[in-house]
Amino acid sequence: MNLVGASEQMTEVLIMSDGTVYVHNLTPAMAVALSALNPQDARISARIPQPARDSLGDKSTIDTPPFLPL
Amino acid sequence: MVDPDLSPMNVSADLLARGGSGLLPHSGRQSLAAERCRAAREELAECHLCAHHCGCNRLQGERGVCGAGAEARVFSAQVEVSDELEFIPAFAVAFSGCDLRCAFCITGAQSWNPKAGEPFDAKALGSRARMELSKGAQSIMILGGEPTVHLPAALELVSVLPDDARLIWKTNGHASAVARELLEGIFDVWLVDYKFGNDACAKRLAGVHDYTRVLQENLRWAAEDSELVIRHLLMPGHVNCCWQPVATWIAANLPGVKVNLRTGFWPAWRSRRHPELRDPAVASELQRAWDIAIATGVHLIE
Repeated sequence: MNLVGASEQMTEVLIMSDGTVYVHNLTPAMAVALSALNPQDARISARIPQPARDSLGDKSTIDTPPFLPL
Repeated sequence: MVDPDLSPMNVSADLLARGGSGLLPHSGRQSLAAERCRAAREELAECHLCAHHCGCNRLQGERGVCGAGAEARVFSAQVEVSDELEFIPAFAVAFSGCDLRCAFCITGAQSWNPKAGEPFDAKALGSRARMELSKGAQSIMILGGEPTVHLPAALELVSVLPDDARLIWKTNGHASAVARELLEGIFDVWLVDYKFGNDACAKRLAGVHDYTRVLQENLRWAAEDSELVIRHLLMPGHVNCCWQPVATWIAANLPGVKVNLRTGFWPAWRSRRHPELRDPAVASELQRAWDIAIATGVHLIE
């Protein structure tokens, strides 16, 4: 582990059997990844830092369950 | 599946627009924090930093409820975007160890173990924080576990952070008057978890006595000292016994204070020892929770 150097980052994700996704300690990189799964989910897209949001561009829509931050 | 239309954003869509930073630079905060750090370290000789009031000498190896010694450890330090929208991206520094024993703790392995993680290094973390601020972090959040039990280290960290950084103290609200005195005027925001709506649930699920009185005392103080944001993690089976009284009390005693109702409970750590905590909340409970929020008029944010 190297906390100071930022070499190790962690997000916990729990995917329920109904497809609902729970997320804890969400990092910007994981927010981008989850948003790519469901670009229509405003709650996750709102958490993407602006520079990363700008670089995403248009994504095709995938029908996935909602994102629920702990 | 939980219906996303139960989001608080649909309750009041303009809340976020009002949630901007009211940051005022803390001139001299670094030196004040350094001074308080020395005082906080002296307190470890007879620790009364949290409301357990163990009174043990942590400098001599004695341990209280939290199990923490004199030296702090950190189990996470990273930029995160899962906190309140007005705070993110936040550089979050999480201290190991906590004075509560919440069965549902999402970081139980680290929060219940003050020996988890790495030794605290204020200088290195301060440098990292400055770098993250320069890259776009909007705030620096100090949390745990429970940061109050490592108040000397937390204040040492503040002493190396820029005076104009937005600093957030994320706490369980179980601090003592001693800790409050040491924290006065240091943080821009107190982000307090108001977990339980009654003492019986607090005792059963977190092993803490006299929870409500202590928590409410800290909330009233924090509202005077800084900006206050209150969180409540909605627990399945606890909408009426916990969220209802929490929302009612906030509305009556701290009207206008921002409240973040977190609905993403998952059965972490030792949740399965409690039958009602073995699954996430169901849609009807979420609907009931939002109904309570609307009825009480609490100022919801996301």
